[in-house]
Amino acid sequence: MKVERVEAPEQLPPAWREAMATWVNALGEPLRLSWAPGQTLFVLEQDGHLLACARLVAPIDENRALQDGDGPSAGLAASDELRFHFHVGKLVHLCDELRLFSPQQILLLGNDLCDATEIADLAVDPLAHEGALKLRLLLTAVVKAHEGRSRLYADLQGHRDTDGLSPFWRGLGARFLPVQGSQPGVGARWRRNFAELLPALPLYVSLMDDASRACIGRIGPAAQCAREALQAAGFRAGAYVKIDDAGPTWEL
Amino acid sequence: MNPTDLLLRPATPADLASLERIAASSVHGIGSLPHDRDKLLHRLVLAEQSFQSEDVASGEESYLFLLEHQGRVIGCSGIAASAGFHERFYSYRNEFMVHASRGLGVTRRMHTLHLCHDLTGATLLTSFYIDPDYEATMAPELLSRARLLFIRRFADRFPGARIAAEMPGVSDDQGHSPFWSAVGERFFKMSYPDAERVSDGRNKALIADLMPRTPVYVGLLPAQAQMSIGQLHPVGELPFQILFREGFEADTYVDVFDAGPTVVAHLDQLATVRQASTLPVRPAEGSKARQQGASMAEEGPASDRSQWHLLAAGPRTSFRATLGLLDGRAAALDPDSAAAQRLGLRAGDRVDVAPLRLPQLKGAHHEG
Repeated sequence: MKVERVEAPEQLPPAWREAMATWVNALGEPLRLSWAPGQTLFVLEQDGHLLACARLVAPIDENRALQDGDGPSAGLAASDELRFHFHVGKLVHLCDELRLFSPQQILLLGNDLCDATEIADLAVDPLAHEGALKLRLLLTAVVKAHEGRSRLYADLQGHRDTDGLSPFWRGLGARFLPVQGSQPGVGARWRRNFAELLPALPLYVSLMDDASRACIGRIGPAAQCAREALQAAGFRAGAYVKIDDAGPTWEL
Repeated sequence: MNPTDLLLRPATPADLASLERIAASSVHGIGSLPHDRDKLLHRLVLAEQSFQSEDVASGEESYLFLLEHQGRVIGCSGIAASAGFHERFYSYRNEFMVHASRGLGVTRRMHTLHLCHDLTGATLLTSFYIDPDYEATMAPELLSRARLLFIRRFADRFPGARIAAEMPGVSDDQGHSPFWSAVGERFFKMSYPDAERVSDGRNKALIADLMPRTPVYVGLLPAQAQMSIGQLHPVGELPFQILFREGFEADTYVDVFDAGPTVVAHLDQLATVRQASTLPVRPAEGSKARQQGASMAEEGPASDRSQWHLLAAGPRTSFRATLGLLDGRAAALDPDSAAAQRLGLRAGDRVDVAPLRLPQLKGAHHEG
């Protein structure tokens, strides 16, 4: 088994491309088969057979953010890469006279991870034996190759109920975007657009329904394997969650 | 009941027994009358001081009036000179924020509640309670609206630009409010009646300090709590309708605890104040005919032009108000009329009058 880097989509062998087209990533979404310059696909392969992959998305730098939209990367450029997360924080409401001490969990929308490198499309061959182990091998190589540069993070799918639906989406997102229906949308671009509909000020978790609250930082089925691998590779759950289903962000 | 038998006057500590009786029959948490003898006495002492005080109004004044029918107390109403006094007065203000995503082509109007201090310093109408036996009479009108004549008469004691009244929000028989359960209780871990008790009715600043500091998105609350926003408790229907007909508006503010409507208006926009005038007390020409008119008032309208009026007179400590029949175009009040006698007026005094029946409000079609 060895890890290789694929810098541009055109360099992807057709067999790998076909394999990737059938996989889902740690968000439970299909993988992207094309990507902008500045992103690198890391793959784990054995005898030419694709076993796992992870795509590194570098932080947006000022040059790319302000780039005109007519270059070769038009349509895939910086603004799509702007990531929104909820920071899960606390506010303590204190009243001495009533002897009340009330720590409140709050969600604050922001681009806190804009200077970090995202590990997107973290995925493993669904038929692979000991998938988490293979994903860990890949992650360890990624971490080593990335050493000394910006911090790394990976988003994970949030909790799903027995019907495969996200209670957090039902309790929060769907109230701001009812036309979307019972499932959040797919992809970074969709999340970026959806973020525009969310409140800019802190949201008190206390005011949300119980099922939504219970989702914060909890992972869904698509993220099980990735979470094991991230943990083994030294990543830890941070203070951020996804804005659509409250799945956690694991950081290194 | 003969409306001329009604008399509104300032409450004094000697009225403790009457006030206790009233407080005991009012629903808990409504009418801002605690079921507590010491607190009621304190309230009466404060009211007496407020009526007596010759100092420049400090804003702490809390006036309390009692309504008597043939000498028996049948209701009370109050005025707090400055909402929140030296503290802050909290309300939720209804606002609509438009959230939009160009990428998704979606625009969404979101109803939010903003914690605000807009009504700090406003004149606050409080403590309205009427004996249920008198609900269908003219007594509630006198009890509520005489306060407006008092404020008009002693305008320098009420520097607030606006006048407001908190109306009870919906709650069940145990006093549980769906809005409190969805919002307040998440921050205090105590029931609504307990919270009311702890915050001492009027001073809600303590508890409001603990409330969420950012807008509450109404759409995130349970359906029952959403529906309760701006909803009136049935016991508030009568006092609400009186104020609504006056010209108070109920769309902007709700209570931070139970989301009942807080109605607001500018004093000079209110119907009673706009229609009020001050008349001298002097015998009219043909005084004898008038006297007969006044005595006929015992049975009903004396003439086509006679209409029921609110009448108020006196300095603060001996402020009195009643109802009386008066020709709408009268230039003076006859000292022999029933109303003048009820108010203890003599020739040379001045009396404030306002018609009981207000012109129909535009848009008030729902009243039939």
